[in-house]
Amino acid sequence: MQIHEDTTLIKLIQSGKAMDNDRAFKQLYQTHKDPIFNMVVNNSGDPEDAEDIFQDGLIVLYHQIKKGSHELNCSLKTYLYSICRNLWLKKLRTSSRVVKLSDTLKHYIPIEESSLRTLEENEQKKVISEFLDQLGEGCKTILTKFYFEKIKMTEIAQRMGLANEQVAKNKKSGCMKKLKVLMKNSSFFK
Amino acid sequence: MNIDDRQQDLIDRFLQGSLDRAELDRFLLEIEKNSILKKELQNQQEIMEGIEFHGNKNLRQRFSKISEEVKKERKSKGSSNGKIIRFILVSAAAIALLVMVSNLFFQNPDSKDLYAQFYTPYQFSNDRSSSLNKETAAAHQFYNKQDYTQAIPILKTILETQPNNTRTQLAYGNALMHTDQDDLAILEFQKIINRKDNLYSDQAKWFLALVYLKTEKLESSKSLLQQLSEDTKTDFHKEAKELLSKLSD
Repeated sequence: MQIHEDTTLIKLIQSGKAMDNDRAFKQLYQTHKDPIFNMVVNNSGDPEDAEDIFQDGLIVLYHQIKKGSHELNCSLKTYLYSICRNLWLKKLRTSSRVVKLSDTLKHYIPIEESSLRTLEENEQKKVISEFLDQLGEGCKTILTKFYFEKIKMTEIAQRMGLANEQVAKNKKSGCMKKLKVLMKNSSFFK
Repeated sequence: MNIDDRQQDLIDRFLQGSLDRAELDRFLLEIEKNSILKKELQNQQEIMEGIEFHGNKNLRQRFSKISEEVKKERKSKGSSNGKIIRFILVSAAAIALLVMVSNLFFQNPDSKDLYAQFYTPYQFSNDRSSSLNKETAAAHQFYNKQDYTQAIPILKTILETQPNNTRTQLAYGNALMHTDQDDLAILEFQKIINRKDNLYSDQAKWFLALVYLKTEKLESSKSLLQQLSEDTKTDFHKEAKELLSKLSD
């Protein structure tokens, strides 16, 4: 099924269901990737760079939609292109590859630097991510659903087949404690 | 020293930006005075960033899969008007890709992949009574054309007058699943199971297990699959056993 409306795509991403999310992402790939791909390739990038930039753009878009703070005064196409354009400019700047960028879309908007912070990587984040894997599926699921997917506790309880919100909260709290113990015992955090 | 539930809730809401102005002011004041709370906030901020990194990594993996799917679809679309040899080559590539993807399913199954792998829609076949009933015939027609949006109101109307028409109810549940009305689908399958005195209880259990899988209620799904896998007489015994073993991997 083709989904054309931006509002439908936003709802699918906000739903927190993996299947809905993937339908939206697929639609974004089908309809919005080409201008971004061409923008990167026409400006000193290769197809691999283009794929990376598009994926990073989708991640930023995902978080902005989850936070309910992406600019609704422009289309998703413009917004996604603007994010990717900004990301590619940054990458070009750091590698000093090109000075002036030639665009494939006429319209783009300024992007707040803070929205790109999610893409920053460091060793500490990697270590915590590895600890998360060590916690087991149950803990990983509840912490990811709450802190990453921003799903409410009542809904998490329902989806995970837990008795009620309080049970889910207790489980989350137990998982956080386990994670903190792993951090405390790790030489990285000493 | 640990923080209490109220403070934990405030930290969560602060980090998610959902405190209102007055709550935020009070919280900031509390942090200034309470060094343990301040340290805890800092600690949880780091954890959240780690979880975000983990989530982003998973998103990238999903994007790569979707990217491959879209490339594959574009290729097969482009080749439909081409020469036979080109068609064969593309098909071979698609088959190879499918084999790779199915291997991937095997190595790293998740509920969404398993649902897609195991779900086959209910076959709502015509019987003698349906050919005599205009409404039922229309429901069959829309359902079998996969026009679930049209089929749903008709199936619902039939069930209002024949609430124990299990075949219609199974089709209705499946149509609801297809249109992502999963909670309603769950209710329909549960009604069939609760009636107990019919021939379709196992089918309802199977679809209920799948809709639970689709909605990531894994424990509920596993419990039903366990029941089906233990019953050697049911048609779903083998599939349930296989799905259960993949879920337990």
